[in-house]
Amino acid sequence: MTAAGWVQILLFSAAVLAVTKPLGIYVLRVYDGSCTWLRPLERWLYRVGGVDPGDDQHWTRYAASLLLFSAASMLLTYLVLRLQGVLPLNPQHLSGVADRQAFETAASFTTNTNWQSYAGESTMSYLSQMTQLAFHNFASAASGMCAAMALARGIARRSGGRLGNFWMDLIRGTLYLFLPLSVLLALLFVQQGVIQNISHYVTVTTLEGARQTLAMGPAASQEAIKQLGTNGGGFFNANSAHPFENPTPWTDFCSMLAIFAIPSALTYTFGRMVKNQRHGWALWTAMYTLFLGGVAITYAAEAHGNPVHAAIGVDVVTTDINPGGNMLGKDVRFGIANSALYAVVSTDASCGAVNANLDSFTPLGGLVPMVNIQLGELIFGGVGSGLYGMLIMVVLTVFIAGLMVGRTPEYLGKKIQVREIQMAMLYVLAFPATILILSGASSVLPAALAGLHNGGPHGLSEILYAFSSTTGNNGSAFAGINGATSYYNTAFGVAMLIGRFALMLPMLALAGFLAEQQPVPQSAGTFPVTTPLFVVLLVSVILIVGALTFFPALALGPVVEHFQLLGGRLL
Amino acid sequence: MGDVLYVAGTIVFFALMLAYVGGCSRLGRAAQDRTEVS
Repeated sequence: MTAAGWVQILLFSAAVLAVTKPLGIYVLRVYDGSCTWLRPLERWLYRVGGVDPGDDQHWTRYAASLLLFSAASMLLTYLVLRLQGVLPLNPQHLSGVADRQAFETAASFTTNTNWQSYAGESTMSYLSQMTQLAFHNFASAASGMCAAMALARGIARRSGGRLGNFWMDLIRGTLYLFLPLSVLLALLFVQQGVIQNISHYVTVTTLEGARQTLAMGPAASQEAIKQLGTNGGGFFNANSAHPFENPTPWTDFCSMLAIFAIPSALTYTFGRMVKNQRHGWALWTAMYTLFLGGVAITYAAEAHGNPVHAAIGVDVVTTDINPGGNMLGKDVRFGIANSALYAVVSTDASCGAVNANLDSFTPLGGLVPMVNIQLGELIFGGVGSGLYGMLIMVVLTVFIAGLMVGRTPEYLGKKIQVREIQMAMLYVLAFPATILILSGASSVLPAALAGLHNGGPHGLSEILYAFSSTTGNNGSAFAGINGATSYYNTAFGVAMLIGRFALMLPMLALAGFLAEQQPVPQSAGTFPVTTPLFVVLLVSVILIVGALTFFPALALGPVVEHFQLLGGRLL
Repeated sequence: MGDVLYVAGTIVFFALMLAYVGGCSRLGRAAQDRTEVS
């Protein structure tokens, strides 16, 4: 590790902290209706969509609206992808996407996963990219924000189970938050060299005299919302390692900041909504503690390098002219520190963008991104989904603390009773059950093993990572699996849908149940949720729940791989 | 044939999720009734 590497990590941390309060206040104003600078357009959208913004929906109607919107937009995307060959804005004359891949892609973008088993530049027309995939980049992010706001309102107010209006939240989030920030970020990206055009692909002659086709397209606009919405789907196959998507260290830094900005700001927004700002900062501290631990482990593992490489004479020692460590699969423009930081940021959040090849990380370096996803992507997390994932863990923490002292647990004036814990447990159990059952089945089914390029513990790591990523709606990949098969396209599509909606619905139910409650005044026996003790307990609950659930599977994959590597074996 | 399967599968999935909303609601009501009785 180098001092320069740590300075970059700490500068990034300072930037995240700096945007948290101002952006948190803005997000609050967006969702409480006091942000009005686009009011004429907003009113027009309500009129066209037949939305009554005064209609305060019960949680069941809020959830049904979210499902209806997601189902309709997913089916539309499926249709456009299948028909893109006969639709306009297709200068490369790309054919319609195969049915299994169209299903997976539609599920992927609807659920904010953006897992891609195709190369964008050779599969998707500009129309598909601009009207469907870009649309979902905004809509799925705004849906996640709707769910988080619904839970925050459920905790903050007593409203007979009413959580606000889904359609209004969706429009306001898109109009006031994601669109303006995306335009600003896209302009910055264009200034830095990210391409933005709808030209034919360009054929050039390289310095060696070879002919090479350079893919073109509206990358900057996609890139902005890809990061801000924690979507992560690359315009090009190489994602953020592609110089047209991520050309400079500055775009790399801004990309990471864009991923964390809104999830970090939401802790401040939440603190303001529940009128307990110190609790908001306590959540932020818990998230940052877990983030910093993950970065430290990944950076140390990658900087230490691969002992097998060292044994065969590769120089893994860091000097002024040699990055040292494990540079396999990493771009020299970013180096080890920025590759490790990007991998952790992208998997703490449910983004999934990559600027390096995760499959080439050391076993411990690759273990951290996988664990980040398996913890539920609540370390800042996805836009909206990070906050509600963390709040579910807070409910469990408060419940455990209540059991310790023999009191009915309370959280911010609301009692945590049987039905609240039932919903929290449905949320907590559905996630690992989906990952472990599908990973287990894929470890033995011939159709799944046919797509696997590695055997042994690394092969298991690849399967486990793939189902963690898809169920967790992350979208990053260990590679090493040919995901473009009927089995994987279908299994991943189903995993993504379950991972999004089977978790979101009990969370909305929990929000509704909390909103039905009469607040109880705090007493001397109420567990304080603003203290360092609370932060320690919350972090412990997150790690213990994650470790107990996934450790056996991890022990057979990356942990075994690590010890094999120490023993000088690659497989 | 693939189109029919994937489209029908998607519709069935979201229908199941709508039923899940109802299930969560009933589960919560039943738990609340038990809590109030006890």
